Amino acid sequence: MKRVAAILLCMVIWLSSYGQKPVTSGYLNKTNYLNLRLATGLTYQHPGKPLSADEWRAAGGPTGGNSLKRELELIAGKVISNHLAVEVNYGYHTTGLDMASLRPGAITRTAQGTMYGDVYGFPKVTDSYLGLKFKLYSRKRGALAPLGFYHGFQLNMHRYKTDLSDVVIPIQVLPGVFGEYHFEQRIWYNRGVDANWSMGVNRAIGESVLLELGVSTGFSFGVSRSRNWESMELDRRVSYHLGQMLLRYNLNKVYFCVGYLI
Amino acid sequence: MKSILLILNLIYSSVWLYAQVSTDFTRMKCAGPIPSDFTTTFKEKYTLDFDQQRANLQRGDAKEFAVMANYYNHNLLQSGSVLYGDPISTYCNKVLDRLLKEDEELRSEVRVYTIKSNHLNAYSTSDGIIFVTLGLIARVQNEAQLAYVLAHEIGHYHKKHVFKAFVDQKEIWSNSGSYRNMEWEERTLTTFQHSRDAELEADIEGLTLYLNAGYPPNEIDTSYDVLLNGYLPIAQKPYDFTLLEDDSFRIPNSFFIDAVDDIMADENVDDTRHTHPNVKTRKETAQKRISDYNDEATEKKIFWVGSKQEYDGIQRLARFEMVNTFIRNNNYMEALYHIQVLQVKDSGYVFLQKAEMMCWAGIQKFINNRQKKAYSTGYRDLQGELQAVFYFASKMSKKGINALAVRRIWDIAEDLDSDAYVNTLKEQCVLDLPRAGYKRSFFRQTYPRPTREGGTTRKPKKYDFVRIAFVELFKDTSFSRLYGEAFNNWNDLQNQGGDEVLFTSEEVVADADVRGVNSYYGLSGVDRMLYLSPKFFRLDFRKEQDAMFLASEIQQRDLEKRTSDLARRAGVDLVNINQSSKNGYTTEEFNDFMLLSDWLREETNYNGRDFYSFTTPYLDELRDVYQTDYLGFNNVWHFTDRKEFSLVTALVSALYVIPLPFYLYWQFKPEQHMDYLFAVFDLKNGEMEFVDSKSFSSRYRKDLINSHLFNSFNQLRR
Repeated sequence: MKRVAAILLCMVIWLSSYGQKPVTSGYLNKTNYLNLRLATGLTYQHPGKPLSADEWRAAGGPTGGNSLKRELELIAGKVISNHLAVEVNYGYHTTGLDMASLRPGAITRTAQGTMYGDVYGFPKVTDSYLGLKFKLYSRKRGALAPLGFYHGFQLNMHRYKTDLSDVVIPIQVLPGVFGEYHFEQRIWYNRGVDANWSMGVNRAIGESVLLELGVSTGFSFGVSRSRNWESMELDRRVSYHLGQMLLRYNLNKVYFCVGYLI
Repeated sequence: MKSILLILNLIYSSVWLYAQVSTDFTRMKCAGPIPSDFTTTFKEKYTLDFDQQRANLQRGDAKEFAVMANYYNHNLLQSGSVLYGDPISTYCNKVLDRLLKEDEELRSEVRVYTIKSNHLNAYSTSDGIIFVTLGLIARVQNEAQLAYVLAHEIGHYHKKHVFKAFVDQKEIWSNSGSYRNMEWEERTLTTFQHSRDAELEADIEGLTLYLNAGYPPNEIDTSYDVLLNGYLPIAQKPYDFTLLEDDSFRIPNSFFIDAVDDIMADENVDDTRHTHPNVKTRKETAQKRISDYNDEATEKKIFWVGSKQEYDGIQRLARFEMVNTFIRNNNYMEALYHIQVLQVKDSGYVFLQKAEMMCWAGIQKFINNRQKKAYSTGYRDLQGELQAVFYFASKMSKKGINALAVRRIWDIAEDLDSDAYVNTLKEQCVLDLPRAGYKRSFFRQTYPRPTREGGTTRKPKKYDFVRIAFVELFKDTSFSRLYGEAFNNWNDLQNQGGDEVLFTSEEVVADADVRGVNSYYGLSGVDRMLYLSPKFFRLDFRKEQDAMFLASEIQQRDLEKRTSDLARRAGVDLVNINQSSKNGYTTEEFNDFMLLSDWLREETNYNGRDFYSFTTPYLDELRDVYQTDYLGFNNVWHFTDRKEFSLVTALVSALYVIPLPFYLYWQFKPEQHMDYLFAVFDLKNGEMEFVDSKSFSSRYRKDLINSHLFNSFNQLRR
């Protein structure tokens, strides 16, 4: 975490020295704005209900699919110089995945002991995150913050809740006869970080309405106290793994913002 | 005796009354109410022409004609280079009255304006404007010759030659009818032939008007002679280089041409590739017509609609104004020659003396910036006495020019009252001396020195004569003080790491290198400034011209309005000096605009050099009237073009299929580019103190331009 903070600090210092000479004009002297961002993108998730073990078998492998996610974000931005703006954002979205895509192996250790069998079901993940974004407005394209073409660099701190209520481990009681095991602790909280790069265009309508269209991509990395996956209990492991996996899928986005210049 | 003196005095007074070139001449101005030609928008002119020609032409051609016939003339009228209501235009209009006294309808359609150009030229437009140049008025010898030129132009208008030429060109280059399968060369020659035919037709039409008005036939040939020699200066007079010398200071003969080339204007030049017939053909055609004509008319010999004095007056006015134009265009050598020709009759004019000072200052400034070619083109192509001046300029090096400039500027200044202009030039020319590569002691030591044996210490060098250039000037303490100061400043400058700080433009470039844009914010706290209406140029190379020009004007009007709003918002009070379409626009405002426009042209030619221009002193009054020291303008260009086809990208994307849609989108999306320029000059010293210049790839977007405009004003206001 200290490392991330140091990187952020360096970025702020470097970027704020970028264009100090002229006064900052913003758009018609308006240098602050509030944005509501709707992001969407292809995500690999299960679209709805959990699958039973039989359904999973019938499907012949991991289920889930590419579907469009919906993500809502609130943004407060400030123009720092004529080519730099900084945004703070808070976002929220929910997703889920068929557990079949996560196969811990034939021997599974749980709080109750060692189990045999794969993990099936549909964990729900609710992700809320807080981020900081630097937007560099392109001189080459004549942009003047907060208008025009920009490249954005963003760091988000995620806190995701994994609900394992619908996750089961089928247990072979007798040959051909399956029972089901449910985790005892079904709600887990984890943290993660993603860094992404975006490019987009801002436009103004009238004197105060700010529109934005952009795309972003990036990578995620987890923040965990322990990296000893083998010794981690399955439920914790599942919840953490799931969050990270979904974060990765969720990094490619197309977004549209409507904002108000202050 | 007293009565004789009284008569002489009256004659003298009347001559000066008509001469109109007063002793405090500075520049020509417009007078009277502003004509609608200057205030009507391009769109209105375009629409009128389009509606008129729609019956005769196809829609596309009618549009093209309406653009061609109006756009360039409209811009010329709006440029500040055209005079109306001035003595020259007024006189020419009186000549039109005489030429068309029997055709009131035609008279009501034509009018004359004067272009501030030194070239000999006149032309008419499809809507009845006749433009004459200063160069024409300065060269035609009498009113009859002027009347013939104007009658010829009326002929063009009356015969609708502009329209016919357009239709003709369309046919010739359309590969249809009798021009089908014609070679390119043949089409070109046909174009020229048709143009020459039109000229002869205008000659004949004009001749009829001319003779009917009672002008003498014998001036027809002389009119063509004036035309033939139009490339020469207004008179042939050997340049008096002795003005640059004194009893002890002599310029070696090697700097003077032995003999100038003879004037070789050829009446019978091959005109196959000319738009106009050669003079011989024109004279013959005219003479044939004259001989056919009613003898009674040829008897009449009315030369003047006013008087000879009045005509001489406007001619002198044109010749004086030409000096301004020469200087504005850095044409210093021709200006020097021209000034000396004028001084034969008008030697006491402060204007001419100051103009000569400016020529020497300009020559010195340019040669010190290694730009000799800016004022001295090759002398070999010239004929007559002007060649000697250009020969001299081409042979004289930086050292020689600097010494001569300082000598001449200080020499002339002695005869003039001291003022800011005179003092500035006197000071600047001395402060610039070190730039010529002299050492401080150069002018204080003479070489080669004599030896006791009667020989010299070394072989004489070409520029030894320059060493004694300032012997007399050194006796003047103010000169000695300045001389010392010049070399001290120079040494300081060298110690600071070069001379770039003297050049505003280089500062801008250096700044641009660092920041990636050509912006230089050297001004702040500006809350009021004069402003030239913004220019918007939209060039879409995929479309027809008319769409672009119309769109340009519409967007220009819009930009004009937004600029005022945004300036007000940023706290800058704009005084728009050339918003000619606004209600109540006055001739005084137009004259002020014309002055600023001339000044800007001159400054642009100096390209940001630290230079006190010839027009700058005239701005003092303007600064007082408008209560500001600043002049701003901004231009926006938007270019659109097809993207060049990239075979490699096309093949690669076709091979991998997935990128193909993206490639197609990229390939068919047009290239769009914008240039934005916002500049502010300090009228006190003529320097461009604020530049906000950006060149970027983008569609034309109002919000972005608003943002840039506001930012420019904001930087100025901070």
